[in-house]
Amino acid sequence: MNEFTLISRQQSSGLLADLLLAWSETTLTLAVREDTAFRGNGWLDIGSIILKPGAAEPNTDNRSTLASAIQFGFYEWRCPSEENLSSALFDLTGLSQNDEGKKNDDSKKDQRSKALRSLDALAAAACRVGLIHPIFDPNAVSLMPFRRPTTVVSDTSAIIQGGLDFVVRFLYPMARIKVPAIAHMELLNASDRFLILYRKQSQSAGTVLLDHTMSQGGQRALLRLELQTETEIERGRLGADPLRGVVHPGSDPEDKALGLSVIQRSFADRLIFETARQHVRESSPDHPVSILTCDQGLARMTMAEGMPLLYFDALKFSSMCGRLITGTSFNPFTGKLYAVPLSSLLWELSVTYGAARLTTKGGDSVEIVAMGTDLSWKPHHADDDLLRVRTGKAMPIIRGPSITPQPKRSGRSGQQDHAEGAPKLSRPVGFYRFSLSKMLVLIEQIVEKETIPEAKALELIDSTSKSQIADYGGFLLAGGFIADEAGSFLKAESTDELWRALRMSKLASLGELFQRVPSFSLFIKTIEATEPGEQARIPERSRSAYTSLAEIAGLAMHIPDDRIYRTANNPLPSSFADLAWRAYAELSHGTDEFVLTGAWLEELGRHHGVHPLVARDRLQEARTSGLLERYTEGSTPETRYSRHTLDTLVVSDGVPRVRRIGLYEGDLLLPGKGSVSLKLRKAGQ
Amino acid sequence: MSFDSKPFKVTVWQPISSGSRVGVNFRVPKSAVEQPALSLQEQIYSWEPKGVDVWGSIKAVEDMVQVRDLLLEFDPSRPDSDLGLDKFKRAIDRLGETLDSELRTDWTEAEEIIDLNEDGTNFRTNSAAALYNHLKWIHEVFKDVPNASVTVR
Repeated sequence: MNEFTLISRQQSSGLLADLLLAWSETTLTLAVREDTAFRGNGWLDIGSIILKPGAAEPNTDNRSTLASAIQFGFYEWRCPSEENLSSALFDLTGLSQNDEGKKNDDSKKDQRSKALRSLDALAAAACRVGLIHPIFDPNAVSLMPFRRPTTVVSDTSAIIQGGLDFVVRFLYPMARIKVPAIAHMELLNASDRFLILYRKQSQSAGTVLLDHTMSQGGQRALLRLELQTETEIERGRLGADPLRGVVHPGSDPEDKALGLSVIQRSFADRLIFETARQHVRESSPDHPVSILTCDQGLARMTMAEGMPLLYFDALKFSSMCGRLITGTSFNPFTGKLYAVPLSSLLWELSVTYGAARLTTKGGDSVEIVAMGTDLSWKPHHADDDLLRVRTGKAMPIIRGPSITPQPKRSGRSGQQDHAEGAPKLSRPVGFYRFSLSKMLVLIEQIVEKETIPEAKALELIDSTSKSQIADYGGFLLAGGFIADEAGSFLKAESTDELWRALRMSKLASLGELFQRVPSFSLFIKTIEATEPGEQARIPERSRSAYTSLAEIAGLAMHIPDDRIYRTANNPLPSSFADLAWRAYAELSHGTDEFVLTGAWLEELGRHHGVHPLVARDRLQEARTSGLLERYTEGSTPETRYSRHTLDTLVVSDGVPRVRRIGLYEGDLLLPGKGSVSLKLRKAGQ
Repeated sequence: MSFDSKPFKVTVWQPISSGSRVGVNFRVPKSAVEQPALSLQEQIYSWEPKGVDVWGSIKAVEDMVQVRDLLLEFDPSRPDSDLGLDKFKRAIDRLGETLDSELRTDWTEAEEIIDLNEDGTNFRTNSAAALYNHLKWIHEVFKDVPNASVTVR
């Protein structure tokens, strides 16, 4: 396995899409692991995940389609049977009936029972992320969605079992959320209990599992609510939770005798109820306040005290066994679809059990790990929802949503695969967005320094966005212009070759080099296509950068309000003279009037496939050979043609830079001279 | 791409009680017309999927027809005895059978567009699975309500 990398949940869609592309598989095994409770390196298989990305849209690549599937819940989770799951769990925890030691004693029965209960945490995790819903009391559902503002006071069980997430997801903002301090404290106590067992590597596998899943799952629910959602949580003034002081250790011998510093279950329930009642007193008389719980004791007390109740049954894993759960589901009230990103499920399971994993049939895998003996935790991990991720295959050089790892290839065979055949933008090719000027600066520095750390690269492109630098890295890596090394831009053999071609403005070499990038090669093939509308298939995100690249390499020219034209024609002077004359005659309608230089250059590109730079050079040669004579006339360029520009490469002090030339301004044919209009005359005329 | 224009609406009813809220929807079951002593029904839950052809994911026409016919048997004009939640569960289970094999359902595009950067893409779903999971939830929630009934239209 590779080293761990901290990745946010939001960022993970791109990484997962890259891995799926590299693996060429969309059916994966989902598994979880608890370090202390599970023996050896065992993982508990909890079903299969089947991505359903569908066919790629005309203007998107497969990577984007896969990333969308991950992000927008286009997947199925086929859950295993209860029997298989419990049997596998007992084997992993050493609690199977046939296991040696402690056979059939009470302790083992207790541990087996706890281990089985920990499986219900799978259902709770699925419920918290929204894949399934809590089974509410029918009276509670008949009041939903709320028609007027209602305060919902959640108890600890509702946080762990997904009731609170349901309220936030479907009833907020009409539901106002209040989480009593005692609920936080209960979860903190559960977490402390678990950590004590975890640190001493307790052999009580069932207890460890149960405490881990309950405490970590519950704490994540509260952190997610606070940090990842827009939900406002009502918090009373200090001391607004009645009786809270009682649980603080005090010197009163009577308190000590009562053991009030130890939170008793029923006492905690009473504190939650008192929090709700306090809120009733502070609210207007007609403002409804309900308690949300799946604890029958608290529910009965709430009803007996005359307070509205939102009761639901805690879900058992048996309710999911053998079922097909989908990442897109119906809102139970509006009927609209909503999505649960795959990363949400993975992150939730990882925190709940300690680690989650997706594996292919071939054994490739990605692990998402929330807890480990050597892994530290910092508050910003929770702030940004960061977890540690590692893969069984090489990670892309820079982690970001836009890197597309290309299959390992020898020589140039892989690139030829992409370059041949009809243009198919649905192939697994990454399209990149970048500024060409900044790309040149970056290449210059790579050539000079040989290696550029990612931080420096960010500085060079004047950005702080890792996704942006990932686009630059992705393009260079895809063309073989940098070497594959994590976290830096390392000079490769082709870097010098590219730099030489840029410095010498060698159009033919540049065209060949750029087309080593599979997506750019497809871009060129797409603009060669003659079918109307074919160019709409070019991803918008790359259109500008790729058009500039094509223009500076003489491969194409863009004519505004028309299309991008492939300019592959590099005729001999004699042939060019004929083409140039025909283009001029077309524009001048057979007269010897001046025509706009820009219009003539565009006519040559549009109908004869001659790039303006080629036209400039061939025209000069045709004049020298006495085949053509040209006359130019300066005037103020018409502003309506200001968008008709061409990106060209200029070299100043040995450094190539991009210069945008106005085709109708007349600078291209005679630099420094505004030859806005042009007239041609054939030899002998 | 087309989307089913036929509305699909599931409503759960229970006999009206003295504690019923003002303003809820009522239904006069056929049995109440024949035996006025029986109570009126009040709506306790109503749900209608939006922008999705709920049958669109079922591949085989015979599967789709069977499931749809079973659900549409819950016509409001039928007597209450034909609209019970036990019978509703049988229809749900039949829908669930189509999910046993990956070959019997497929993912289809929904009407809703996801705004993704400059590009838009349609929401996708296995509408049969999503419908099954939701109807199952409805059944689980309301199965123990005395004399509750379901209508589908």
